[in-house]
Amino acid sequence: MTTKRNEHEEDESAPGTVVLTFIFFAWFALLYLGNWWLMAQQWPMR
Amino acid sequence: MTAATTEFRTCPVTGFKVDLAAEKLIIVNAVTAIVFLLVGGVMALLVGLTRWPAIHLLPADMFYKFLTVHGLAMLVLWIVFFEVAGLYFGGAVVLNARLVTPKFAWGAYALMLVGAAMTSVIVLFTNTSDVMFSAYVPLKAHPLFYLGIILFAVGTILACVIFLATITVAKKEKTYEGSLPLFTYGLLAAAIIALFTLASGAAAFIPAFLWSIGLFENYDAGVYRVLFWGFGHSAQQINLCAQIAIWYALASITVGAKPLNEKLSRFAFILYILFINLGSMHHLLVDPGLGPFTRFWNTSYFMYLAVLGSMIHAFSIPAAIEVAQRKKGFTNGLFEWLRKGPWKEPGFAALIISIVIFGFIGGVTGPIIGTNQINMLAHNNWRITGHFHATVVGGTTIAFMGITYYLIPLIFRRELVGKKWATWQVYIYGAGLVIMATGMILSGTLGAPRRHWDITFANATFPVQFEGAMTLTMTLMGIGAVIAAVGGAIYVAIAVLSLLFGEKKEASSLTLIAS
Repeated sequence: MTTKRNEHEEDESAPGTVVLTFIFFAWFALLYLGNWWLMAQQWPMR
Repeated sequence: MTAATTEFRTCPVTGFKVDLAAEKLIIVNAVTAIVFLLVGGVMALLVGLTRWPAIHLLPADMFYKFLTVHGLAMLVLWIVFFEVAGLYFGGAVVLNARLVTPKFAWGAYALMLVGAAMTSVIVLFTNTSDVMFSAYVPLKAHPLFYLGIILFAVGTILACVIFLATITVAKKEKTYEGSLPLFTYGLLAAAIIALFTLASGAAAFIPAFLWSIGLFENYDAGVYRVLFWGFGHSAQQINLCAQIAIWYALASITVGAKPLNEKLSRFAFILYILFINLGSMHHLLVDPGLGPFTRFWNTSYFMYLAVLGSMIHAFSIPAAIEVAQRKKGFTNGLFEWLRKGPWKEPGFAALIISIVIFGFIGGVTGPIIGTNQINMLAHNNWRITGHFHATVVGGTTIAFMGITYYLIPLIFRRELVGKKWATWQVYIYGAGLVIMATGMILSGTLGAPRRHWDITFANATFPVQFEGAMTLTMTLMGIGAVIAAVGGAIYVAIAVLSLLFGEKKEASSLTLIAS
């Protein structure tokens, strides 16, 4: 008895890519928020 | 030419029926592309060495001429000639079909070549047309500058129409079964985007030509900017579609990857067609002639639907590689599939480097500097240049370089000279690009303007002060540019040597090094 729903589903899993995707999101968030912070430092009308 | 009179050969590796007329056109368009890459690359090195503060190589007039030709050659000529080769490959060869009206395809090539040469020569050898790639009105260039671009655009439109006719006839003549292969589907998306991009270019440049010959006196600069960016940025979306089609092809060639969900990948291409051109409006975020609704709706809402398309591909392709590698037994841990990838295979190296530079540098910086508030600070500074060198060069050019190494044995039917150098070339070029783009982005973040011969304003009446760190970041850019130029030179050398001296024979395997 297996807990797999079907063989096909297991063959198509890509856990490494999921992790890479979250690394990418973290990198984007860091840059995006960093740019807003940078803008706050440089904004001329403060 | 009809189906009955078309001459074919059968590729022993792929099994494709190759129309010999299409093959010749693929070769001549690809070779012309590489010639323009060489021209644009030499200009890139000279421009880079001029912006490197310690060297500051060229005088101002030559700098702007070379920068204009560099932009045209790299953003348009190298890439579009290569894309036309790709359209004929994806339309005729991949579908086992005949290329419709090869004579018209030669006519399209002639128009493109004459137009490209005319514009390049008029910029380089006269003092009339150093107006940059954007050629913003009221800067007025020589009429032949505009005419050359128009001829090039007409030739490209013709090539796109021939591609569309070829896939239509292929369907009618039942040369393939079911839906279009994903590679050809991506190229179809590129061709559709090309058609409305070039229409926008014609709307910008035909009046500019008439204005330059004195047919009318005033050309509204605001109208020109809107029409131009419908061409200027959208042209890069054609590259994007072609590049992603090549990513799928390289993943399939090098590790046997198959798209996990082909319908989803096709849907992502449709998102590009529908929304990506609206993102062109981000060039006009500081344009006073447009209302906030127009600017923000396009850049802050519609553009993100195109970004969603990129996110789908960005997940789908690495995931397809992972699944293919896991099926080969690389199942330990999260990343054995990646660690044990065929890193010595130039196509695999080009694929991964192209994805990483495009995504982690070019992709993330795009939506950030396209945000209205941040754009107020980033607009027209060197961050923008760093962004699009990471997308167009790090993404598109490296992908095109990668697929070239497979087209040479399969289509040119020549043994690739210097296979190991091909792998090194990808890494050297990629490393140079990363260093150069990072230098540009950091310099821009510190306030360096783009397209500027001397940001120190050495002899200006009023001194201009920038952060001292900018000298370091601009030097970083210069070092990266030299490394990238070495990588680019190796690519051109491998291509030229293979074409001239590579053993003439049919390919015997799909991969070059990995087995």
